[in-house]
Amino acid sequence: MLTDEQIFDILDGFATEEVREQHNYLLANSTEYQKYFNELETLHFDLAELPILQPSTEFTQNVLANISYETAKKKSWSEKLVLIFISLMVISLSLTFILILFYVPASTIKIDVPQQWFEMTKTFLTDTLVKVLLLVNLIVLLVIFDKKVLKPYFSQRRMTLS
Amino acid sequence: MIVNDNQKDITLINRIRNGEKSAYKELINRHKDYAFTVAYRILNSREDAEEVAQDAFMQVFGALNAFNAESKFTTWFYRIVFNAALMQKRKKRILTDDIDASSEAFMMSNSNNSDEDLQKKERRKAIEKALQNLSADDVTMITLFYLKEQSLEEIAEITQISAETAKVKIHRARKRLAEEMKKMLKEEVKSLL
Repeated sequence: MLTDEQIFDILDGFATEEVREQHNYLLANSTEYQKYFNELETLHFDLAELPILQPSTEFTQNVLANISYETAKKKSWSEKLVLIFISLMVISLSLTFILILFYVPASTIKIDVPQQWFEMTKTFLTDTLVKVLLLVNLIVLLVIFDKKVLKPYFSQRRMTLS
Repeated sequence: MIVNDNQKDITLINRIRNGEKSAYKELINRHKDYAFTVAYRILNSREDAEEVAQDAFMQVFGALNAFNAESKFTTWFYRIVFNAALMQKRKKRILTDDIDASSEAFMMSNSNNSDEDLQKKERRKAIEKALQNLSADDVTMITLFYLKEQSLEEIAEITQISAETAKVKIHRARKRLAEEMKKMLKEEVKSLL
């Protein structure tokens, strides 16, 4: 009797000459083998005739709709990014301007600022604040780098590997 | 024939890369049935299979620039479908048992009602039911091997195993399917007695 693997090899057309000869012999002389082989052969041909299923009629349209949605989503993010960038630049420029105003020697530029307002502002414009601002800028930069460079890179890499 | 099919896919991909949206539609129409069938056989749910197949197309579209035109598109694409379906299966771990109602209406079969055809239909039904009781791995192997007659090397590439392991897995899957069908037949006979 041949093993199941050998029988499937015959059905798939991978069997060696020796196995095929054995198979022919068994087919002619063993009703038990004949029955078992017929069973597997029927299954083999039934599997080969299994129908290909069809998705819903809207399938293609759904995919195409999602594609345009994805693109639109990307576009809106880049528009948002530009706005965020401009806002950040405006804030940074204003802060820099204020810092310069209060840190340059009093002899060079004279600005008539009310003493009370000056004192109040000075308490905020310390080294710590500058450090905090620098840290915030660094975090913003890292977030942008992560979103625009790292994430696309790794998703592309995942796609290629999968 | 296979080479021509792949050449057609590559031409379509190049057209998509050049911004032709109609080419993507053609690519979807060429592969949607098979992608859906592979996903359906693994998931046993039309809804999930449709979602997975759609997601697979979206992934393909997103990563089309990374596709190497030297390789076969279907091998790459079916690997994406296969992985997505397996992931969905792990996520949901569902087993729907109303395959008859959901799949039969969509099968591409003719309506000849001779005895032989009826017998074939019955056997097909039994196979569909038995397939549901097999593991996702077994079903995938059988589906890839029979539905589009993928070579062992292609199946190995899709499932990321060696060709030899793929061959053994296909043998075992068919054996388990045969056993499952016998078991079902016995139960049917028992219920009739």
